Amino acid sequence: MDEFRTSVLTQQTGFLLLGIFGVLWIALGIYWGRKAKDTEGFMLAGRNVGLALGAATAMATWVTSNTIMLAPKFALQMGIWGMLAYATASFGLFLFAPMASRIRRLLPKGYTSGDFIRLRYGRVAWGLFLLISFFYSMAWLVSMAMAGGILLNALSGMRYEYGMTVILFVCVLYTLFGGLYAVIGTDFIQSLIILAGVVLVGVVVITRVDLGEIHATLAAKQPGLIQVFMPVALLSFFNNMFFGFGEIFHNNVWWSRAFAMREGVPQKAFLLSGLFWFPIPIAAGFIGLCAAPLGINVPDADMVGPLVASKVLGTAGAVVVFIVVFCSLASSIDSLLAATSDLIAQDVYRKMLNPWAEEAQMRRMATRIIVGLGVVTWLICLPRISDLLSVLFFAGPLVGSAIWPVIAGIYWRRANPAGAVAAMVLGSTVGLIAYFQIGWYTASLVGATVSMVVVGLTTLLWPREFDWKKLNEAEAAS
Amino acid sequence: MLIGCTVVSGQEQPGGGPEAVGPTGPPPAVRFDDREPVNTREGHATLSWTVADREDEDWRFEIQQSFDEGFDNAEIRNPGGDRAMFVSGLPDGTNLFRIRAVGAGGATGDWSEPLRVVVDYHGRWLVLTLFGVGCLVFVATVVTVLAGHRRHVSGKEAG
Repeated sequence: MDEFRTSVLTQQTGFLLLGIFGVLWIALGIYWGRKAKDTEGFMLAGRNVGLALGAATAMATWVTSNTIMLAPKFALQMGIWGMLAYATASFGLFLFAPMASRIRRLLPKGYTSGDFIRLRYGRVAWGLFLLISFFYSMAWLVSMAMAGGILLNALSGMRYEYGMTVILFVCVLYTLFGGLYAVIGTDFIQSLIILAGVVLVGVVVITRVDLGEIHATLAAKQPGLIQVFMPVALLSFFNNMFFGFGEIFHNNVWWSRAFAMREGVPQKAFLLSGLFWFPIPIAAGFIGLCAAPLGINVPDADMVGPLVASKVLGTAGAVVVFIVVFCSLASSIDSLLAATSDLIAQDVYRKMLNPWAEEAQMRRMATRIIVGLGVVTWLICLPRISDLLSVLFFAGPLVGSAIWPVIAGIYWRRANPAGAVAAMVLGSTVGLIAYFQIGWYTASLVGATVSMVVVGLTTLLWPREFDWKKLNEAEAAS
Repeated sequence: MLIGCTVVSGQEQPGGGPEAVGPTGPPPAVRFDDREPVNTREGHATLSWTVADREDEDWRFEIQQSFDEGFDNAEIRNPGGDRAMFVSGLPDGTNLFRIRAVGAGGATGDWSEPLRVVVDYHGRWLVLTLFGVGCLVFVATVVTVLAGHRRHVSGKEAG
């Protein structure tokens, strides 16, 4: 990144920190991996995850590198509204809490979100849903791996390719050894580090700035950031919220956690995770707003959070940011690797290619898929793409269109397959048109709206009774 | 690296530092990489620039922002030695930027040709309509999930 003339940490320090935490996560992965005796243990941690681990894993997974980078970027681009817009992503966790409790009851032996769509709506909707889910998961993985490379480069001067490669390699390795046991265990430790780090940076920054001075500087130099009517920010508010709903409601990262938690735990765990997550983008966003008032030049908006934190806090702050970034990257990449590999192993390999696959074959396939996902992500990330938002938000209308097929499928007995398919096709199409015609900040909003109207109308006009017992595949088969 | 609470103001020395140390000799010409006006509906843009010669030396830069061609009452922005600057929260209309290099002892080069950043925010009708639609979808989503959850808990919607 030529725009950055200096980095706060040396490359040696960067490699040392990567080495220490990389070895720690891999060692913990191997340790926890010993518990994974069978496929259910590897994929769903034995369906026995309790409240503390459940809440921590959901919170840590949702604190991605994107939170550390995009929340301050939202504030820098769109001001106070932008900061709040990013924080609305926690509402997805709040609403998924009651849904998770029902998911757990409807599919007591379920493995993936794909299982639900296949059993509830049939194969056409299932195929479409898998396409959306794979596209989104890859976009998320790629955006995080890229973010990791960029962040480590800016903080320590380490080459983008090196940082991105090490992060991916470490996450692939410990997910490979430990499956969901390792993912959830490391998430617990990572969530504690992230919370402590963000609180520390937030407290120090707030003690070093004068709120009155910040307001005065923003009013003079960046008046749009404190205006009540900031057009793009107002558009982003619900767009970001529905993007978050779509991400959480459809993606197997969250469904696999609902399946992995003990009966009665999911609702409380997701509520707690939302509560813990909510202040993080606010604190991170505030840091972004402070850039201009503190006289800090921002050459690249993606980097504003780490840049301000490390410049205000010096070398110690950069070390904290480096560790928080590594933890948030690892806690999300491992979850995505595990959940996406489950989706491919269960929904594609077992359900489409080899229905008679035995335990050992499934385990082998899951490990191959994790390695394959890591390699594909690495290849896509090598040519660095400049704007992180464009990568991730391109998936916005797609996941937005999946919100209502999922909600209606869970709660409405009369929602029908044709409506679900039409909602995903029309929602994605119209959302993508909005993406190109108006802007990325309307795509999920439009996709979700179209999806809601289509599902509502088709359920009203062509209701089709569904027997909830069909969702319990094991019971239906016996 | 500690910046602390320093607020950049128009009274500061060119280039961002009171001592303004840097390469000696006359500072070179600087030009923005964007030649055409930059159009944005989001009120932000990334400005980047190139130094005409002695590119590898540690020049500092000074940027002025104004609404008028004469750059009267210009806001000063100091990107230090960076070669790019992200500007946001820009007001509606045409924002003009010009840049110059700063060398040792505060010696300054010539101002560049101004770069126009044209901000054209979305209209109120579109924004308020989509915001209203967002409110409706949000309420519908929350009501559907909570009502469904109530039926689920009460056992009216068996699962």
